[in-house]
Amino acid sequence: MDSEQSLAAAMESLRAIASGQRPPERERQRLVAEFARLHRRPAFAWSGWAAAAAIVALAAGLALRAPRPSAAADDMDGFVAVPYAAPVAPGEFLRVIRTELYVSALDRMGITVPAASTQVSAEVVLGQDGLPRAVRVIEDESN
Amino acid sequence: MEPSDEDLYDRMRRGDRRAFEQIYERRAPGLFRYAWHMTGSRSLAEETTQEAFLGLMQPNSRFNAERGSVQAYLYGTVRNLVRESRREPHSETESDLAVEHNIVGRLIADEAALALHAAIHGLPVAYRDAVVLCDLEERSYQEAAQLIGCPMGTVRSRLHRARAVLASKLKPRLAAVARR
Repeated sequence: MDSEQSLAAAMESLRAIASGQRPPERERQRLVAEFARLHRRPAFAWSGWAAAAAIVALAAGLALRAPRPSAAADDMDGFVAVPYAAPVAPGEFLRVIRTELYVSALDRMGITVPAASTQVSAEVVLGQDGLPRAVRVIEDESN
Repeated sequence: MEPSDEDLYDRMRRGDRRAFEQIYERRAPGLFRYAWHMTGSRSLAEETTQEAFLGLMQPNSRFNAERGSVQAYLYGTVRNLVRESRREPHSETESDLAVEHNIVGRLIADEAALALHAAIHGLPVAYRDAVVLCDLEERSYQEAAQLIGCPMGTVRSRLHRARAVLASKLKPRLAAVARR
C-alpha cells in the first residue's frame, strides 16, 4: 500500500470517527437560554404605555433633527440624545436596557452628567444595530 | 421548502427562538467537527463553536448577509478563534493535555487515524482548513472556497501541499500500520 493510499485510508477512519461527534446538549441549552435572555423584554419601573410613549417621542425627536453636539438641549422625558448618533430610521426597533455606566464613559459619548460617584445607573436606548441613541441617568433612590 | 440560513437569521433577529434552534441544529454538528479537527481538542471545539453562535445572536453581530453566508460567518469565526488561540500563551497544563489526549485516544482507537488527527493539528491554519473541509468534511472545492473566502485554485493548491506534508510526516507511522 503506498503512502497516498494509506493516507486516504486513515482519512476514511478519521472521517468515520468524527461523523458521530456533536457538541454536548448542555451547549445547546446554554445558547438557547442566552438567546432568550437577549430577547427578553426589559422590565421597567414605569408602566408599559409610558415607556412606549417615551420611546415614540424619542424616536420622532431623533429622526427629525440632524445630529449635533449639544446634548443638553435634547432632553426628552429625562433621556438625553447621544450626540452624533445615527438618526433613528422610521419603524426601527428600539430597546431600552438598564445598566451601570462610568461617568467617564458617558463623558466620552458627549453626555455630561452631574454625578458625585464615578458610576451611575442609567437607562440606555439602543438602536437595531445595538448602538446607543439616548441615555437617561437614574437618580439614586437612596438620596 | 426548507428556509435558508439567511431567512432563519432574519427571523432570529426578530426574536424567533425556533429559528435560532433550527440554525443551530442544521449547522452546529458540522461546525463542531470542523472546530474539533482545527483545534485538536474537544473542549476548545466546544468553546469555539459556542463563541461562533453567541456572536451570531448578538444584537450588534458582525454578520452581514451582503458579505457572505451565515455558514461562512460561523466557520470564519471559528477560524479566527483558532488563530488567536495559537497566538495566546498556552493555558493548558500538562495534566490537562494528558486528560485531553486520553479522551481523544479513547475516541480514536484507530492508530493511523490518531496519528493523522495529531498531524493535521500540526499543519499551518490555511493548509489545515483545506484538508478539514475537503478531505474530512467532504466539501467541494467551491464550497470550501466560499467558507474560507479565497479562490478555488487556492484551495486546490493548499490541499495538494497539505496532503504532501501529511503523507511525508506520517510515512513511517502509516508504513508500520500497513505492515501489521
